[in-house]
Amino acid sequence: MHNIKHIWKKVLKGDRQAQQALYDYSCDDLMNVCSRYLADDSSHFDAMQEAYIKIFTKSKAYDPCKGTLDAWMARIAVNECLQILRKQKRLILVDVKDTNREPRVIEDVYSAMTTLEIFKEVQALSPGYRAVFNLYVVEGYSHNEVGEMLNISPSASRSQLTRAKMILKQRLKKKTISMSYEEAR
Amino acid sequence: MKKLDDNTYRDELKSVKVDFDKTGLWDAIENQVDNDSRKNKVVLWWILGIILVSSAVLCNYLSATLPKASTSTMATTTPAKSSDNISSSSQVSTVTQVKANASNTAGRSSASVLQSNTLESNPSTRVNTSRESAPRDVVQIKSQLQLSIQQTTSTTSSEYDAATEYITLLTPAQHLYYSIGPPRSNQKEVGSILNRFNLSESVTSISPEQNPNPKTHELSISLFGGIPRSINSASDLANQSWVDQSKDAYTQLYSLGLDVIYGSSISQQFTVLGGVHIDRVTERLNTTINEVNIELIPSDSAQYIVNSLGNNQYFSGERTKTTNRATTIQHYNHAYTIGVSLGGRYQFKVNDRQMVFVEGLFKYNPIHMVNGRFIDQAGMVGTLASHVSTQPIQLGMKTGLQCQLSSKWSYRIGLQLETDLNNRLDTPNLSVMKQRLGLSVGLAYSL
Repeated sequence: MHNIKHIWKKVLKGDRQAQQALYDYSCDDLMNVCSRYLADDSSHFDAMQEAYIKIFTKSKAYDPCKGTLDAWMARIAVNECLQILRKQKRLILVDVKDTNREPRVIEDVYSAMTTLEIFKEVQALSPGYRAVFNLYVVEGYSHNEVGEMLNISPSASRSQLTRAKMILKQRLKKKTISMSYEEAR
Repeated sequence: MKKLDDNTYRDELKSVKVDFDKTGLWDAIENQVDNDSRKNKVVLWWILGIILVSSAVLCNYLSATLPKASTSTMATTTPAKSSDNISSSSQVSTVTQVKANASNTAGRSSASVLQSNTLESNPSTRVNTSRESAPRDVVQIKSQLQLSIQQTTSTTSSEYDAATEYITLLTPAQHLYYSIGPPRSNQKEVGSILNRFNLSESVTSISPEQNPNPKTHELSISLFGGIPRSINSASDLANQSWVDQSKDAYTQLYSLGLDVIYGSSISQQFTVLGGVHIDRVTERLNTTINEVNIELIPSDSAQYIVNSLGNNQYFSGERTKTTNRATTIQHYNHAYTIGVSLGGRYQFKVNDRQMVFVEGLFKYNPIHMVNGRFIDQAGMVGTLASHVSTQPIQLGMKTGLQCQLSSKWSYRIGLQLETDLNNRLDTPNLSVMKQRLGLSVGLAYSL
């Protein structure tokens, strides 16, 4: 951590080597963020590129009192991803009926699956569901915060999440059954 | 932040490492950071250049006007410096006449002295001395002032006071005469004014010497509005589909431009031009991406494999739901070119107030900023910025009419055609060249 603080001080001065060091340190995490929100590779690159440009040019805007550097960079990456989705007009959020209860995702359903398979299933969700799911479940934002970020109501965020989890559950379940059959054979 | 209750999902998903070309991405980031900083520097230099050019133009203007001011000052102040030497009778008589006009108290004898002296000193001038009118005064005072400048003789301080008093009491016609007088008047203007007072005979003698090849400078600003055209081509047949696709996808909307040009005439017909410009071309990208999504819809709780050997496995009692989604991407692309212009203008007079001109300018654009989307050879939509070259060169041709509004101001209106001379893309196989045709309206100020 001391090392990253040292790197960050140099980044603030515009040092190119420090910028590259920061990139090496954080690119895997940011790519993970971008891959969860955007489906195609070219969009990942665009989002990553824009995110790092912003990180380097707006580095003075980072306030250590408000959170960690990793969280700040992840937030920038998330915003870039949402921006790209908006530009592509793919962030279509349909308000579905709010069931007011979240489906219980039984651990057994995906315990047999690899992490990458779960990741791919999340990627396969439609952009709207994927965004709400990632913001709420992975990033840890509340429905109010998700609603503000996506310009929808908190109830719409809740209903989107319910629907996303339901679809994910069904897909994971089918995968598991398929895999069980393969093992049985 | 809410307390996470989906830790499993979160941990699983956050732990995934995605393979990607780290070096390539860093190179792209580094290039963009460099480009941004370079653009900032170029913009800074460009602003500095404008300031320098403006300063040079201002200095040029001031240097052209200051000597004129010092000459007129000398004409009025030189006599006051010497006090004793009253050798020139013409100078004395000038002041006497001044007094007569100013206060109507001076005697006629002084006026007659004045007339005789004037005729003696400038025999070619024949003035109708019987008419005591303002035009006569104009001619007389004109020739006397010329004499006073040439002889630079002295006068008494009281005479100088009288002279300055007279200048303040000049009639409007006299003021007009002086305002268009020696330094900047032309033969026709003086002639037309004097003709009104039947003094055409004296025009030749009192008008200043004409420069047969006057060198003039002007600063002009012109606005352009027109319709762009994009010429897309490919060097090989393999990319011909891209040409067809891009022709369908892009709609050229409009183009705007602003030119600030400094002109220096090298003859009556030719003017060398140089300046700065900013142009904008806007187009709309409209393309459709088709997506097919197949979902399984469960309808039976019993699940068993029906087709286990095929590539796809179907579950009994399940139906598939196929969703075709056509996403139309509409994006407005803007391309800004900022740079310097160099060229020339040929012009010829139609009448006293109007001229026809033909203008040609080479435009070099060190700054080329684009914002928008681009369809590549694979039909994928990406950012336009990553495909354009940085320094397009253009050739602009303009023809139209120039009308004189006043001695200093004139406006131009004309038809302008501009075409790119090099490829706007950095892809060697693909080429995009823009043309724009439109109307140009400008205002020029003679320095």
